[in-house]
Amino acid sequence: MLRTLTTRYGNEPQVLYRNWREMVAQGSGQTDAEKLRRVNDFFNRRIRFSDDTVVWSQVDYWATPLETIGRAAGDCEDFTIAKYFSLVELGVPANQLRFTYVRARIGAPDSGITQAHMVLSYYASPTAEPLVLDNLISDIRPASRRPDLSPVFSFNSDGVFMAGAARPTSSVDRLARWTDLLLRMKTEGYEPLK
Amino acid sequence: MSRMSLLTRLWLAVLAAMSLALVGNLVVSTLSARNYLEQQLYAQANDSAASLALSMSQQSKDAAMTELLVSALFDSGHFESIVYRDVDGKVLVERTNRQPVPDAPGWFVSLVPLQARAGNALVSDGWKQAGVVSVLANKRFAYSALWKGSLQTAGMLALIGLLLGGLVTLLLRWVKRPLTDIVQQAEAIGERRFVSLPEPDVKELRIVVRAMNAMVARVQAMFAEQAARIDQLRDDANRDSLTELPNRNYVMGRLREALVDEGDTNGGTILMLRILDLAGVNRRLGRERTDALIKACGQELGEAARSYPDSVAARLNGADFALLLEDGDPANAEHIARKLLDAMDDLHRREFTDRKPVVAVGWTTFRSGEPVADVLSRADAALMSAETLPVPLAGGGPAAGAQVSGGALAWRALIDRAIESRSFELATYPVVRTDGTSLHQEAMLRLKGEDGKLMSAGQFMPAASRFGLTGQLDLLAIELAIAWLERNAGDMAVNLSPLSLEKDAFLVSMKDLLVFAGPRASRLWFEVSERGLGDAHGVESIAALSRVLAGHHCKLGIEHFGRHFAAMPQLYALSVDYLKLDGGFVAGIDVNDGNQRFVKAAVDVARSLDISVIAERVVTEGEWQTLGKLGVAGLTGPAVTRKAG
Repeated sequence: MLRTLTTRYGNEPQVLYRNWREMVAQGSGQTDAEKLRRVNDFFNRRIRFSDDTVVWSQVDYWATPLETIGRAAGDCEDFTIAKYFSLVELGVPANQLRFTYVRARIGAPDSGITQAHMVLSYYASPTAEPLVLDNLISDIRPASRRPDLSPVFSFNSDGVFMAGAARPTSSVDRLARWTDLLLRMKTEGYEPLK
Repeated sequence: MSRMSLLTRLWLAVLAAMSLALVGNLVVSTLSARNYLEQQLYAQANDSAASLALSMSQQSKDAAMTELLVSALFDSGHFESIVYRDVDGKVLVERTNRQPVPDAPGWFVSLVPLQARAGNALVSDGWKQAGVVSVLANKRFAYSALWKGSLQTAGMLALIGLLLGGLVTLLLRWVKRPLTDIVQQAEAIGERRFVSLPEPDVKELRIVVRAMNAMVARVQAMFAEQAARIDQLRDDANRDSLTELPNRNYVMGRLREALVDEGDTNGGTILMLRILDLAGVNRRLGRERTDALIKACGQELGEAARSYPDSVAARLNGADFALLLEDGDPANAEHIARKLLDAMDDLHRREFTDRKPVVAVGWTTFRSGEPVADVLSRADAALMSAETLPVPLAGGGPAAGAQVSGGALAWRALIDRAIESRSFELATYPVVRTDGTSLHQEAMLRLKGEDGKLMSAGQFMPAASRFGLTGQLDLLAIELAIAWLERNAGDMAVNLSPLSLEKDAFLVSMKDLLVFAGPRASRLWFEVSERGLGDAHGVESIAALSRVLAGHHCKLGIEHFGRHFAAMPQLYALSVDYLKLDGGFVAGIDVNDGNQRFVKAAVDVARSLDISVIAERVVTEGEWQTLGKLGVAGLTGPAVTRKAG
C-alpha cells in the first residue's frame, strides 16, 4: 500500500498515511462511539474539501481511501468512503453503516440554496435514529439535530451490492460503480471488507 | 477394425475430430450465452430493485401505498417475484408469478439451468430504515432465447459439418486414386504384368510411384534379359555359324515333331538342296569365295523360308541345305522347288560361282505318322536323282497309305457320320515324373472307321480343321476323358485345337461339360499348341479358356513349346500351369551341350514363374537321365511308353 502511494504521489503524503494507519491500529479496542469520533475527526481535519473536477478532472469520481490520502483532498463521497472503510477496519459492522444521499441546505436556515450531498449514517440498531458523519461540520450529531439535511436514498454494501464482492462475479458487477471502487482498492492492496 | 483400410480409418478420424470440435463449439457457445443471460437477468433485477426502493423511500410508508408501488412494478414488467420485507425480515408485500412453462423443452431446461440471482435494495423512511425489496427477474424468455440460439448454432454447425465432411471425402478420394493404382501395380507385378503409372500430384505418393515405376522397369528388363539369354542359348545350340541358319540338329528335331504331331496338320514337305561340285568350286575359286557362295545360298534359302508360314531353313552340312514346309501339297512343293532353283542360279549371274546350275533340289512330301528314316531316305533319293538330271530337280510323295479315296467330300461325310455315331475312342500315352511315377495320361482321339480300322488324329484332323469340326471333336474328346476319369485313377490331359477356342460356343459347351464332370474336372489337364501364342487374338482366346478352367480347378498347359520364350511372363498371367517342351530340343540332349544349357535356363525361368516343364518325345534312356538332371518335372515319348507298356 505504501509503495503504491509513494510511486503515485511521492514522499509528501507519507506522514498522513502513517497517521491514518496508526489511528486505525490504535482504535480497535474502543467503543463504537469513540471509533466514530476519531475517524470523523481524522478525515475532517486532515483532508481538504475539493471538487472532483479539481482533484480528479472528472465529474463525480469515487476515489479510494488511498487516493484521497495521496491527494490529501476529496469531495463528500470521498470523505464518506474513507470513513466507511476505516470504520469497517476498526470492527464496526458494515450493516450498521449506510451511505445516504441527502439534500443539504447551505447558508442560513431560511436560505433556498440546496446541494446534492452524501453522508455516512450509523445505526446502533435497525430502528434507531442514525448518527450522521458529515464533512461539512466537525462534530457527529444525531439525524434529528441536522435539520439542514433531508435524506433521499441510502444503500450499503449488504443491500444494493453483493457483500464482499472484491472480485467481479460477472461482467455486470464490473460495470457497477461500487465494484469498480472495490477493484481499484484491491489493486492498491487495501481490502478491509475481506 | 484391423480389416479397415487406411483411408477408412483416416476418414473416421477426421469425422471424429470434426464432430468433437463442432459439439465442443455448441457446448461452449450455449454456456457462454447462458452466462450472459444470467448476468442480464441479474442486472434487470438489480436495477428494478433500486428504482423501486428509490420510489418507496420517497412515498408514505402506509400499507396501501407500499402494495400499490410493488404491484405497479410487478404488473408492468417481467418478474418472477417481488418481495418487500421490513427491517426485521417480516414479509410485508409479496408478488409471485406462477412460473409458466418455458418454450424450451424440459430436458433442455434441466440440462442447462439458468441461475438467476435476486436484486436487493434498501428502503428508508427519512433517516429511518424501512426495509428491503428483493426482485427476481422472469427466466421464461431467457430460456426461450437460449433454446432458439442453441438450435440455430446446432443447425449452423451441422451444416458446416456436412460441408466439411463432403470436402474431406473429396480430398480422400483425390488421395485414394493414386494409392489404388499403386496397389494394382503391385498386384500386377505379382502376376508378371508390368504397368507404369503416371506420377500423381500428391508429393509423398509421387515418390512412391516413382520408386515403383523404377522397380517395375528393372524387373521387366530382368525378365526380358532372361528371355533373350534363353533365345541366345537356343540359337547357339541350333545354329550354323557360317550362314546363321538353323543346323541339322534343329531341323531334324522339327521334322521328327512334324511326323509325330497328331494335331490338325496337313503333313509337310522337306526340300533338300546341294551345292553342286562344291569341291571343284573350292579348288578353282579359293576358300573365301566358296564361303561367300555358301553364305549367299543360305541367305536365299532363309528368305524363301520367311515367305512361308512356320517353315524352317537349315544348313545340314558342307554343301547340303534343307527347307521344311508345313504344306504337304506336292504341286506346291514342285513350284517352290523350281523357284528355289531359279533363285540359286541367279547367284551365277551375280558371279558368286563359275558354274551353272548352282544347286540340285530333291523334295518329298510326308504325312504325320511316317518314320523319320523313310522320309529322309526318300528325300535323299530324290536329291541323288536330281543331281543326275540336266534340270537338277526331282521329288515325289510317299506311297499311298491309309488314305480315304474320294477327296474332301468323302472325308467330310466320314467325319460327320463318326460324330453322329460317336465312333471315337481315346488312345492314351503316359506322362511320368522323372522317377517314373505317373503324372497323367495324354489322350489322343482315334476315329473308328467303318471297316473297324482305327485312324489317328494326324489322319483325320487336317480334314476336320478344314471343315471347322475341331470344336465338336475336342468336345467329344473331353466327354470321353471324363468317362475315362470315372473308371480310372489319375489325371488325363486333352489337346484342344486353337481353331476350337476361336468359337465362343465351344467354351460355353465346355463349361457345361466341366460342370457335369464335377470334382473329376480337377483331374483334367488341357493343352493348347504353342502356335496359339503367335498373335494377340490367339492369346486372347487362351485367356478366355484360362478363365473357364480356373473355375473348375483344371490345369492349363502349352504343348510343343520352344519358340515363344519372350511370351513366358505372359504365360504366368494366363495362369498356365505347365509347358510341354518341343521334342526338337529334347532329341539327343544327352550329347548336345547347347540344348542342355537351353533347357536348364528354360526350366529355371519357368520355375520362377511357377510353371512346370515336361519334355516331349523322349526316346532314349540317356535323354531321360539328362533331362532329370536338368530339372524337368515330367517326361513323355516312346521311352516312357516303352517302360509303362
